[in-house]
Amino acid sequence: MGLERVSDRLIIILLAFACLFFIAFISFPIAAVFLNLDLDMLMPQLRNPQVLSALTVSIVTSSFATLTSFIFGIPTAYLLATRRFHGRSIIDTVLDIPIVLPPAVAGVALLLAFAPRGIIGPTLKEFGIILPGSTLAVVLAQIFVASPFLIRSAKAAFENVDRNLVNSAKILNPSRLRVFLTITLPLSSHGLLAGTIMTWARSMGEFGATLMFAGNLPGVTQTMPLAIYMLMAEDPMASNVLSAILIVVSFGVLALFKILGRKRYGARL
Amino acid sequence: MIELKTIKKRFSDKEVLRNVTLQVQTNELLSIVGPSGCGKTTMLNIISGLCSPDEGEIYINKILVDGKKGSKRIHVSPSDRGIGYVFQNYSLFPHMRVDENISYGLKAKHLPRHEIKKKINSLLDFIGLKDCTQCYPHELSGGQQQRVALARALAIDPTLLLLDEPLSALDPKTRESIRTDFKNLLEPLEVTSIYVTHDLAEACTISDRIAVMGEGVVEQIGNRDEILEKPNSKYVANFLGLNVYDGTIVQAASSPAKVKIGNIEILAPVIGKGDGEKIILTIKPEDIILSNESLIRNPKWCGCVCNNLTGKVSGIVQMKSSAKVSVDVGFLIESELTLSSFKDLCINKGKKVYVQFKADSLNICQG
Repeated sequence: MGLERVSDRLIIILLAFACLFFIAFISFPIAAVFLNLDLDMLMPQLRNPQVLSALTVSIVTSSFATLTSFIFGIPTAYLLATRRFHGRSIIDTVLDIPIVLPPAVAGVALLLAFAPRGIIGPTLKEFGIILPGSTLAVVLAQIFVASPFLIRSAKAAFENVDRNLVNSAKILNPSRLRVFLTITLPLSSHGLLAGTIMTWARSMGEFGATLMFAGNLPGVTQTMPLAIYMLMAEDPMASNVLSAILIVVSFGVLALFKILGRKRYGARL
Repeated sequence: MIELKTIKKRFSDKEVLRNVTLQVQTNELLSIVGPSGCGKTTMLNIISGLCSPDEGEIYINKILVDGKKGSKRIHVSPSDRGIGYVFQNYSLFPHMRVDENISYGLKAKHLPRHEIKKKINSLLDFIGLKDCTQCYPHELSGGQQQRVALARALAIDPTLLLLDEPLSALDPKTRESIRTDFKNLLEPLEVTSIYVTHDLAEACTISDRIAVMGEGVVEQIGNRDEILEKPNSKYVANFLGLNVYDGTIVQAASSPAKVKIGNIEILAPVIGKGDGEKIILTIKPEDIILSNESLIRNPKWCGCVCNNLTGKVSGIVQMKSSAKVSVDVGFLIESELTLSSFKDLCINKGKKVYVQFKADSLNICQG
């Protein structure tokens, strides 16, 4: 009995130690960004044109990437969640690849597909579209890397909707679209919102694929992570300010994600 | 009237429904009873149109809603069949209030607002939940949720009401009290209904007729007494919890006939059979009398032919108001006693007891 109590305590101490180690490991570098922040320099840096343009490019491209991912990702997720067909698991796996793919590889893949010398690049060029070096390329890189987060989250949300609720609605309502809009969508909305937020956050933080595919042109393709990288050498304070902004945004997004994860529609879902 | 003709349904390699043929008369309440996994819910889903049968035809009021018409395959969509469906866990929309749940089907039909409001009020009156209009489902008790689910199903004035174990999500005590309540709600409705349950007592209380299902087939269909008194197969008898035996007729000419179960000879009311023929006998546990004396004199049994056997108690299961006692008389026979009789007899495992039952209590099954 005594021995069991001692081993129980030992396990708790070990667990607490492991937990504290990770909390320190994660929070120390984050704290370091804020500790090195010169508050007197904050406002002037926020007015710095390079910082401002990077912030604008990031917000605009991330928002477009998220919107596009939402428009195409939600139907895809719904199809995968509600229909059984041949090749479903292959499609599911293919859509998940960007999550595990190194961003640099994603950049190379996008270049090989869409660059003027790529597979469909020459066709695009005929229509006057040259993607590398354009803001559209940033959006495409972000969609490629971030949309699987939305699809994954939306698919799980659709799968979690009780089939009997949908069946009850189908018996009472002849319109499939109305059943989707009145039952499936509200009951899965917290999952969809969480996925959307995750996609936006991942787009905001995208670096490797954007650098490889879109390049690093200030005001056009230079996003916040790219600006942080560039400013690191020439203006460390500006880089620090941008990092702090990204941390605040990321923290806000994660907080929102957790709140939405718990959100219920006046009822237990 | 609802008619199912030779319905077959297979899920991957399991045949869930095998040639199910069934008729439910207009305004009749038919219960389908059977153990879990015997195909009851699949049958409801097929009738409702939520899934299609592989073979067979379904008619609702003589209109083909599923099946082949010439070379054309007909499948009327669930919402066009005029069906009200109460699901096992009620399936109330959790993000909608009670009134929104009830009016869901009415709004889909684009009825005028004042008509919807009128209908909601009359249904709330009917289910006795006028004060809960603005409640969300999770704010209601199980019994109240079940009533709202019924109101939602009835709101569209269904031709057919399907109820899939509507009381199974309730605790046993509430279920028992709500059973009668539910019957009183259903009785004046005058709507053809199919009620699925695995609880025989529930089926007996609520329905006009009962269909016993087993392994994808309807084993027997009949009224309460037909099912309880004359089970037509070993499966139904086992489902009812009866004593079931394989016997051989040794003397058909005598009245009652002499039948052997194992090495034990008993008297049974066999008609139209010959010596050596195999039969299946069933008897209800409550028809078996146990006593400590060799002969009991039950005035009710006066003039009846009785079987008198002796054996040792091999098992006892005590329940809330009765006890089931298994006695080895050469074959195992189970008797159900009231708790007071059980205590009076001072029964314990291994004790020698006398077993008596009327020959007329035995039922001869078809197979």
